[in-house]
Amino acid sequence: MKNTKRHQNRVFILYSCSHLFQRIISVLLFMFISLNLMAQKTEITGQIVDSKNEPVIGATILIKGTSIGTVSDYNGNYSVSASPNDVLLISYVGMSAQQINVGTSKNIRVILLDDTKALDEVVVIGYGTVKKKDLTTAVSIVSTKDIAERPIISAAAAIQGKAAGVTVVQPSGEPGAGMVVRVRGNTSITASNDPLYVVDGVPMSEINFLSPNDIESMQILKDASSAAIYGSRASNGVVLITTKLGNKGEAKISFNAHAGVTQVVKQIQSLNTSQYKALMDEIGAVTLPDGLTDQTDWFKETYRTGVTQDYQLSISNATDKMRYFVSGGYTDEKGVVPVAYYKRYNLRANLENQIRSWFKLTTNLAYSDYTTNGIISGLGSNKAGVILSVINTPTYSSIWDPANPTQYNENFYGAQVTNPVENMSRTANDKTNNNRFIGSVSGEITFSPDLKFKSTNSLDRVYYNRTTFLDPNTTAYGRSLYGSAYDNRSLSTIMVLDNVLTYDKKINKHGFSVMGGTSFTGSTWDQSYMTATHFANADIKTLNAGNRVDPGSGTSASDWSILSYLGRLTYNYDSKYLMTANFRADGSSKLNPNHRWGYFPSASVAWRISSEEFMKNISWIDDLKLRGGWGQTGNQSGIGDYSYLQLYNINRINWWVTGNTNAVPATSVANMQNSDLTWETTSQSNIGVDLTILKNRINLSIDAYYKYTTNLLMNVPLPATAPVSSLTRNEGEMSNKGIEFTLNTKNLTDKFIWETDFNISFNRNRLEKLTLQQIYYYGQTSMGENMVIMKPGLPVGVFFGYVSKGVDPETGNLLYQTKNGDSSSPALSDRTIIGDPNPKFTYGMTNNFSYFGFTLNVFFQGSYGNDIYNVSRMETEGMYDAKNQSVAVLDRWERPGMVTYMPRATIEKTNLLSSTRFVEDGSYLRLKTLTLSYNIAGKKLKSLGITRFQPYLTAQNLLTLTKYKGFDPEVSQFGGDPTQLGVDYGTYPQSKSYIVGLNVEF
Amino acid sequence: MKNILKLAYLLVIVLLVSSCDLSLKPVSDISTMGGVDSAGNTVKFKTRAEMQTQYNNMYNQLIGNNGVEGWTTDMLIYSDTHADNSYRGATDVELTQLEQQKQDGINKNINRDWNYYFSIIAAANSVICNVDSVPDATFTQAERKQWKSEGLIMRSMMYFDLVRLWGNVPLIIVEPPAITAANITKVYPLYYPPKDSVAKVYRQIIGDLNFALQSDGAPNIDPTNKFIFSKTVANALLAKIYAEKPVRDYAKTIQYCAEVEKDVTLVPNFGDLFDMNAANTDVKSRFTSESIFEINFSGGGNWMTWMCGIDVSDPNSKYDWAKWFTPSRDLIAAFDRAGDTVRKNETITTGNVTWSNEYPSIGYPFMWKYRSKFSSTIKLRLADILLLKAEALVEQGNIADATVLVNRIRSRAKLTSLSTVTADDVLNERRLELAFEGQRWFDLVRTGKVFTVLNTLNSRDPGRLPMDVVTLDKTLLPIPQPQIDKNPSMIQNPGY
Repeated sequence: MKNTKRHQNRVFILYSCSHLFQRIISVLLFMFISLNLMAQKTEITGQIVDSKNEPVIGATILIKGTSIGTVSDYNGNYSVSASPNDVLLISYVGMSAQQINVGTSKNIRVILLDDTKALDEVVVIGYGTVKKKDLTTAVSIVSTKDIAERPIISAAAAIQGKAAGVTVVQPSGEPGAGMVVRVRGNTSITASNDPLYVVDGVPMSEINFLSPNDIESMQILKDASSAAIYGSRASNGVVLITTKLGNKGEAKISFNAHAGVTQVVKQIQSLNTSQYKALMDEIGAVTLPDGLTDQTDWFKETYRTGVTQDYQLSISNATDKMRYFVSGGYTDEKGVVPVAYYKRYNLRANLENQIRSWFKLTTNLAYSDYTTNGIISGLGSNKAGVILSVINTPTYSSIWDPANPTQYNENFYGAQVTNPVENMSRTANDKTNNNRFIGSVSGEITFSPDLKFKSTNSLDRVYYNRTTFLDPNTTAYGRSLYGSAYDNRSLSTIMVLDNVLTYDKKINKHGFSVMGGTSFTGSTWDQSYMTATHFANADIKTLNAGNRVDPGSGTSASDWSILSYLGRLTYNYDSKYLMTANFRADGSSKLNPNHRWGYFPSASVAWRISSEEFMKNISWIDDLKLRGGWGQTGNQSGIGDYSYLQLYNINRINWWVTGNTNAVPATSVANMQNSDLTWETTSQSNIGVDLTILKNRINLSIDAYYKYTTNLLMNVPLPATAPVSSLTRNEGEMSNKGIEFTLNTKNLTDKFIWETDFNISFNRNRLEKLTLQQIYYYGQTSMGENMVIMKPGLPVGVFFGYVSKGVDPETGNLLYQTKNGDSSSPALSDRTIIGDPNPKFTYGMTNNFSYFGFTLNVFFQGSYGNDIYNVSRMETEGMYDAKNQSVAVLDRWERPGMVTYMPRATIEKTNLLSSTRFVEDGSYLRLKTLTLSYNIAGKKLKSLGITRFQPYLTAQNLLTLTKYKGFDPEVSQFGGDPTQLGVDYGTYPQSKSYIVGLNVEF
Repeated sequence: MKNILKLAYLLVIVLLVSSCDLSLKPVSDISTMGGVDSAGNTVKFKTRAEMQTQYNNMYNQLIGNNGVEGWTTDMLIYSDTHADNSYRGATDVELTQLEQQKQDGINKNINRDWNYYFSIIAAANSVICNVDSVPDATFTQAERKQWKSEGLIMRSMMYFDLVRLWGNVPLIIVEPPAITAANITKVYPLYYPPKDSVAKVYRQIIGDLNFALQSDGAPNIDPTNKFIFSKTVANALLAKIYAEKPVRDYAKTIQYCAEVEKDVTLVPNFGDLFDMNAANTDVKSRFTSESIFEINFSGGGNWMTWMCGIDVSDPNSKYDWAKWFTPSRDLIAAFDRAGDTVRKNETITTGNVTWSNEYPSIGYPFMWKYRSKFSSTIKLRLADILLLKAEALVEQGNIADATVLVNRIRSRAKLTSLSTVTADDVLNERRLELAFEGQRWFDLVRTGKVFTVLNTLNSRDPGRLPMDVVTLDKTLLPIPQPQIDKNPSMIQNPGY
């Protein structure tokens, strides 16, 4: 909410450049002169400044009890006629108003201080708002004040390290790759663990369309007592985002631009030709001719300096009856791997109209067009994985085949690799474009000051289009298909209709608020998909130029709906004793009609101790509040649209085969019907304390929670002997418990300002119970061994395998710990838990230093105690086939007696069992962002109409302290999949970036 | 105030009207099959048309991945690379293990094939177990019995492979009922069957094939379409089954071989089985007179050809990556020893390549029985049955008749007649005739020659990777570890 004030501040600053303003001043001055003449008063002059000694422009100076007054000019100066008995009321939005007795002073200089009553900030909660001091639940408020000075492209990145209890991981460095956001741990195994996003009241599952610059405020409902109002979609927390609106004053034009370069975080060296040949002679995987020389540096051919650009322009303003915010922007991120990019065009119009005294109309329209093009990752170099092939491709080879210079060189003397340039070309035209329109219109009718009815109708429509084209000549795969193109289009439409009635009543110190309403969400989705092959050449990439349309082409569609009833009751005694109760009932089309409805209650209480009489004397405590709550939320994302029904796959018959001319499709069983299926339910208890001391200099919040999820949706795998491969059912129970701290301090507040925001979160996850199968194995090493085990009593995602005991100096084989001593051939029963990808804690710390116009923002963020399964290293240090390896294998065992950590080269798999050899400590501390900005102030700029001119320099991922041997410890090839957390397998590496930016306001 | 109320009323009405639809039906998924028959029993399929989708699905299994990757490609790894006919060709660790007799429970290919076999069996069971209960009067009993018989032959063919590759395996002949909250404790264990004995599996498949052979059972062989589980297929399978040790009865093998001989004849030229037409646009002949069961790829989907060599129907096709099933020196020597150029030239081709893993890059040998994506996978043909009969005759001491049969095969291969044959001669003839047709490993195991042949192979074939000793235990594959992990009733085969 502080942000709003800043913006208002800027709005008023705009006066300085305005001729209109000067005219108003003249008129006002004329008025005052005339008034002065009439009242025989003396002329008082002075200046209004803020705590940084900057002039406050447009502050209102009013003589108390009259309508006589003025506003300060662009230098903060004012003059007003007053008599010595008058009292001047000086006010400015976002600052504490002051009263000054005129007395005998002729010149009164006033320092207006920022209104630091953070407790009066309004916090958005589901279907309503509440003052921060009256909050009874665990809500994280994400600071949005420095978004404009951070070169972030995705809104989720703004949360990383900024909110206690919320873990944000960028699973790969690929441009446009979605962030993995987890609120208080994973609560599900097969359903989504992503929070529900609610942008301006519209619920949605992802926010890639949103430009961070449009965000006014962001709040995260963490506990069930706050999130339960979103019922069956709220188990993973709710991120509430409100976009900006204009403020009164002159229209503000704001321009934010940044551009910079990115580089891959590090290089992993591979063997040169002679080293590689020596290795091959040792393994015997392939026979290489003599005389090969180094030809190509694959690292150089693959990685480049990426370029990121982002431009955002917005215009906003407000009158008594109308507020608006219009923005547009363009973002372009070219990745460090040439074919990867992300591009976004975004447009937004927010409008709020007070049409009648009793009717307010709010309209939010957002349109976004964003495109990504990626690479093949998470696959070995034998399957065209780009990142691993950089290391796995022998350096003797050239990019192009010397005999056919238009074709990639695929001569590796029998080694099953393709070079990274070829692998990149495979997805050079693999583009995913989304066009998303989100429009919501809400009308609010005020029946009486207490009784309001609000109806919101929103439409979230996504047009998705993925197109690929593989040319018919350059790659072997392309040649085998004579070129291939694919086109998938889908249209998703989600309509939400909310009707909410609220009644607020305050009787003396008793405050009541009752809210009740209905919500209906309806979704329709359809898609078409088509593949064509046999292209004459690479000129035309659309499917009409392919001669053969693949018989797998078709269209399909599905839909779902949810009907909800919701209610909330709050009671507030003098902001001292607070109580909130929520209730939501959800009916879902995805469930069997016999048990379609689910009920999600919650309740919370708070006691503001600092409001008690006995605390009145303790002046250093500004606020002290105890909170406690309990509630239930649901998760229905893991339920298929019709999964309570028996479904069949439709399998086409090859009609062009003799005898099949008029065949109709075959069918096969698609699922095992489960009419009992229902959503996961999470019950969560939360207790918390909020403490503000030393005149708002120190803010501390502590929350502890216990979450217990029942009816865990699982795909119980069935043996191959069953007619279907798995059974989806409500199968288990899981818990998360944790504690989180948020500490905001204003260390120095004078000319040199130093503020620190720190948060740290501890979460412990545990699978509590499974009904049917008791042990699950997930994940796969590149040798095909499962390396994740899941069973009751363990956290989800733990790694499983053997304990490696180093290399046997006699044989060069890896020894594993077994029941009968160390051995190179352990029994399966010797496997044990070898790592845990769940961090012990995650933390973030932002330090903001400002001195005059300079601001230095230092943002550290990190994770401690998590392990990473480095599958990539199996492929780069495995020495089991003809792939080139990293220089680490130069330390390999080569003769009896040799003591080393790196086992011998062999085509056998004995050294490549899932073991601690490939599990690494993934803890890190990262200097995520370092930003230096300077707010250039000056009369020259002001005379040009520029109220803010702030260039900045930023470095991202500048420094990372870690023991991890891969590219970067912030990695998760399979994103947020809780069964495969923390796996590095040819994952697109993170990059460092250096960026210059500029914020300008007119 | 009046206006406000009016407006609010209007809004509420509009919104309530539009907010009630929770009964949604699938748009593009089938969920309407089956129902309740006149006696009140729940049936999975109501009409012949619904049942036909399952019948079609059965055959569809064999031209999809289950058939091409599993039953065609991987099968030849077990039958030929895992024996002495071929090297791994490519450096994949799964193939390497099988060439070296070092296969283990986490071999990805072994697991995928186990899955393929059981999903094909599930497709067959969907027909076998439901065809009799379809409440559709227009669906004749004769047709029901025919479809069921075809399903039974298909299932038997899968189990014949399963039992020879893995030994004891779960015998799945009924579909377990859907799991509900009410029946879970009773039904759930049915999904985790233990292994059944080899004897029990043979008993079942012999019974099923005999059912299919009844006069109104499986269809007679159709010379224009051998991609049907006909009576001839059942006879051929029974002939092969009775040659196996657990149920060995050579008289019955000879009897069923004779039944097969009534329905099919040898093609005059060996090459007719695998050749392409003159323009290389399709195979020269499909469903030849010799063929008993042949998976039809007239649509061009047999990508097995990319695994073993080039696709001659595709002028752009070239030897790019290392190919699987590189013919071994031992096999080439066997052809050369026999002076068998006809079959050698139809079985092995050569090309100039860029690698030299197993041979010098010039004149590198490739398996040549799959020449294009149009090539059939010929699962059963008469030459196999005739040589099997010869094997049985030799075992019965009827050398004269056996010699006649072997010489019929040799004369087609333009080889001189033998005056007499031994069991080894028959085995060698089978090797030369049926290389890369999914037979060699099973021949070696069936005749008990697997130990002497493979345990001396490293000394004969310098190109073969060092092999582990083949023991009785190692004549079976390991049960895939993921299957054991999923099913506590499943125990690993001895020796793994």
